[in-house]
Amino acid sequence: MTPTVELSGLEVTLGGRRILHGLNGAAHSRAIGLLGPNGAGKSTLINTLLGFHPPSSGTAHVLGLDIRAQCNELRPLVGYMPENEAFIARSTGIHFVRYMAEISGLPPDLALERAHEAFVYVGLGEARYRPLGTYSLGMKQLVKLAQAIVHGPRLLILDEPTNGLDPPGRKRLIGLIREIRQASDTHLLLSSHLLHDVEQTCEEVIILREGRIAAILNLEEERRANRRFLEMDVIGAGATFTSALEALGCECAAFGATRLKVVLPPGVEIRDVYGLAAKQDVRIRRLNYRRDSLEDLFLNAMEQAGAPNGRI
Amino acid sequence: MAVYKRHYEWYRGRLTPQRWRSFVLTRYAIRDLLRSRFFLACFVLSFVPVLIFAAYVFIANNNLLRSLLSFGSMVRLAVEPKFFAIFLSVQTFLAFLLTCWAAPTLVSGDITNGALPLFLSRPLSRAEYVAGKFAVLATLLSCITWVPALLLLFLQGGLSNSRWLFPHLWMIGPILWCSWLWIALLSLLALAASAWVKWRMLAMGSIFGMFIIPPGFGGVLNATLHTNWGNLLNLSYIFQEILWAGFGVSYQGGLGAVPQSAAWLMLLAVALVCLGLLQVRLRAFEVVRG
Amino acid sequence: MNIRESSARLVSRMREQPWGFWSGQIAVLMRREVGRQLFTRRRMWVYLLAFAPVLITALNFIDRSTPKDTAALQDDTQALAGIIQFYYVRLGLFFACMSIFTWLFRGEMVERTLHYSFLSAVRREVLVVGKFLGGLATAILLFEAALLGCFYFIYVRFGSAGSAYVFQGPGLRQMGAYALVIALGALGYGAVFLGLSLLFKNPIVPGALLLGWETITPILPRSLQMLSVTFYLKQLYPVRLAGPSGILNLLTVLPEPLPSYAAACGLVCFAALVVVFSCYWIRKTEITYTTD
Repeated sequence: MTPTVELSGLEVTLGGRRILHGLNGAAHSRAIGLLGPNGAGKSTLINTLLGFHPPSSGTAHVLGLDIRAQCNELRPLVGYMPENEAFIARSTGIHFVRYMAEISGLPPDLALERAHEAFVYVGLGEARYRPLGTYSLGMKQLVKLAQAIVHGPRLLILDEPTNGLDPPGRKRLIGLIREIRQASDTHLLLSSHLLHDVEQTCEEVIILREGRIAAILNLEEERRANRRFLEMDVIGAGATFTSALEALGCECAAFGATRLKVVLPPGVEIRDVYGLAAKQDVRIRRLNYRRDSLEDLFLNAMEQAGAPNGRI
Repeated sequence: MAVYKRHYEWYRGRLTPQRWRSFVLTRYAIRDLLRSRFFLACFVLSFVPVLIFAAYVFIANNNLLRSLLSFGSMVRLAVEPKFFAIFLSVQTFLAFLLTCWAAPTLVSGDITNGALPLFLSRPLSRAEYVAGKFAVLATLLSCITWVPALLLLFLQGGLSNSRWLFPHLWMIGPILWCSWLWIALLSLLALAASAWVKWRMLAMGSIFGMFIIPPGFGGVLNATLHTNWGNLLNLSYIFQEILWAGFGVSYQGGLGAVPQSAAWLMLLAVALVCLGLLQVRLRAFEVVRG
Repeated sequence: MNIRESSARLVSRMREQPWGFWSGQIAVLMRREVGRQLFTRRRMWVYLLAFAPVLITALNFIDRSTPKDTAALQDDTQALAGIIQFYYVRLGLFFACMSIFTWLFRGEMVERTLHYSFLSAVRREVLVVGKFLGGLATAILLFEAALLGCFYFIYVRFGSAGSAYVFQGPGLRQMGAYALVIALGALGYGAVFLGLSLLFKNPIVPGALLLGWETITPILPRSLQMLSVTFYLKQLYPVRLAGPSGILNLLTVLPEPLPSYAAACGLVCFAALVVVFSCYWIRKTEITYTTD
């Protein structure tokens, strides 16, 4: 299967400063998240994949196409929603999106038709004839999405799409992105520093730190493999309760007489723990159940030390 | 992504040929320009000299009208190379004024509003972007320079007789290349100014200033160093020299002449510098040096 | 109420005004404006406008092959007059003032910072005067320095003959006159561009028209000539240029003569009127930041 994004020793130097340090790796999923703290190189990586920054060494393949040699073949397949404000001065929404569609190669009549469709799709149908200058920030984000999808690209690159949006706006945009992912075979590359957005929309994440790849994780696999934790405050639990839990296959750690941390193995459920506690007359006063979240994975990746070859 | 379906689909329809994409920029930019009433009025007014020169040609070839207008037989209305040189001098000046008004927002608007990444992430190269914007000015300026000049030439040919037209067909050459030289120079200078100066007001001032201030430096150079080479900084003057020489007429511009080869080299150098400036500036993202 | 009473009331009202406080604010505004105009990269081209002729005259100074006799000294005096009358007054100072003074308020609108000034505890009239004086100080500083440079490089190459011309001859008087021309030119053009920038969203077009106006005024009636900055400046030129030919003669032809003091006072009054008008106009100004 062709990877959606494949990085082969990709190195980018801008203004005399090396931003990306020989990145290596591949992401195969249809929806890929780019995660990293501010300044990690997410936007630079996106700009490089779009052909805006020439790599100083190495290369990358997007949808199997080399970003250096096959840039012309790649660009018609890509829809890009930039992070910053981007529009054409003194134009209405529909004029702007139609213009972008025509630049992408759609004939004028079809461009107009699809511009209307894109506007309705993103939920701005009523505002399409208004000048862009009068749009709110949330509307501008949606217009940027409309121009990115108007020409029906195979790969949608979204750079911080929820920046500056209020919670309802953010929810709506995330919903649209998920819908695009589910309704077609479109690939998605979403850059964000908001873990929740990525978690909700992506199947695989590339975590960047200081211009290096900290981790490439398949979220589904991670979720499946993730450990589940129980944190309990108990009264009356002795060594026998701990031994019984270990007999079920759990890993236990006791903190004092009342606090217990338990790692559940696959196949053991919380009800089994309750059953065991009832049998041994152990009173559970508090139980907190959680599993490794993207946040844990991200923080884990951030804490790990650096390593050569673009990987940490 | 039909409206009634309300779900996203790839586009699988026909596409326009790649080589025509840059003209989408041209079409939209011209439409935006012509929406400005002031620009439209200026553009229409640029045709007034064309009408005057056409009337001159008509009168020059109509004996009855000449007698009715009381032009005696002593007054000789001649349509010859000098006539076309004067016509193009007038029209190239108007072209300069139109460029000052039209050009500043062509590129600076896209840079200020962050639209360059949107263009350049699509199947459109930087060269095609520049070509599209260049074509905006080239189209508008062609309408008021070489197109009416050729029309006047053929009008004169039609109104006189074939004995006039064929010996004067050579003038098509200077009409075309002088006009295109000026169009190319103006467009490149204006696009470079528009790319480097963010605000319309300043961009307009800088285009205007490029034709007014360097001649001032040139004048100082001439006066101080007792030379004529300072005239090379006067782009308008050296273009006029080339234009009039093209029609085989000596230019009486009041300043000392510079060699034609030097004038050509200067214009070439200016064009190259402008292309270099565009190459440096037209990027999807600004790189902060550090 | 008779005139004496009303004038006494006016005087007492004027005395009640916090002039000291306002002059302090004006000084602060001036300092800020001079810093903003002099020490930003965007203003490099104003330096170029001012000092390019200095570089060219320095080149002439370095060039040892040019003659250094009395005739050459007269020639160079004419060249200097040409530099000042043609270049500085017509182009350099004009465009520099266009850049400096239109940017005082219009620039802040473009950069979307004017509301900070309007919201601060400064009267708008004080703001106009402070910014105007700051711009004026910048223009005068740059162009007087450039004038000094040109003057030095023109005459220093003549050695003792040059010194004699400057210190025992008419040199110093000419320099004083040119310095006055530059200062008054900055004042006049500055006031006009300040007014234009407040009146028009894009002051470049009226600025271009002004350049044309300044050129054609010699052929207009005297009443219209008096609405031109160069009309007053021409009266103060210490050296008459040996006439250029053709249409360029328009730039040097002396309009109806006026005593020097009257010309200087006339220009100061003209500038003061424009600044007063600007003070009045800015009270009504509403900020609308628009995108182009």
